[in-house]
Amino acid sequence: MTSVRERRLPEPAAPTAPVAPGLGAAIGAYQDAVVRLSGLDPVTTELVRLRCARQHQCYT
Amino acid sequence: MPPAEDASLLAPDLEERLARFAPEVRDVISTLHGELWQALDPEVLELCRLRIASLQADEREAARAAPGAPVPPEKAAAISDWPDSPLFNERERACLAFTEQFVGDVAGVSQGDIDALLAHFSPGEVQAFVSALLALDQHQRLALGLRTVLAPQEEPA
Repeated sequence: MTSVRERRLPEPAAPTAPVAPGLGAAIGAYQDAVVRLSGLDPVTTELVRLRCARQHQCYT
Repeated sequence: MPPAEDASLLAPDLEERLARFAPEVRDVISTLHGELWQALDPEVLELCRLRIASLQADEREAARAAPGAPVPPEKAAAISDWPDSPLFNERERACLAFTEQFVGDVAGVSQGDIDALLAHFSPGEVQAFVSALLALDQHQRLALGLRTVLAPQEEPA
């Protein structure tokens, strides 16, 4: 099943510069580093990720 | 007002534990927390950081030096009473209400919660604020979680 949410922030009328350009990249780098940790095997890591997603009702 | 000289971006015990167990995560989370204070007025973000700490009953986080911008002590002391306190303006109230919803039930964030932010901020600022809130919330949950799990093992017998 595919769940599509409506856009909840209005589209800008014209292209705008990001407010905090480094923030999105920093969040991405953090998540990448967490996923690459080797203390937990990849399957268990994925199970934890899926459990977190379900807990937060995140279906994207 | 700039942060105090003794202010650190991360909770000291979290930073120490990450340095021991996951130094690569310590490095990127430090970068992230260096960036997040650019997302919005740092005093508003500091109020949100304090509200998350009170919601999580994290007294250490509430007591540590403000990593962003310090807020007046009377305002910090009134953080849990913001709905009834005259110390908070409408902009701060919208952010604090959103913070409570985000921390308590992120999937339950309503269009009304978002519209309340849009009354004060541009869509880009709202997006940056939510990203900053995510980082602040995760930091406190991680610090509290590691403290809860590891502290008993770290105590000397």
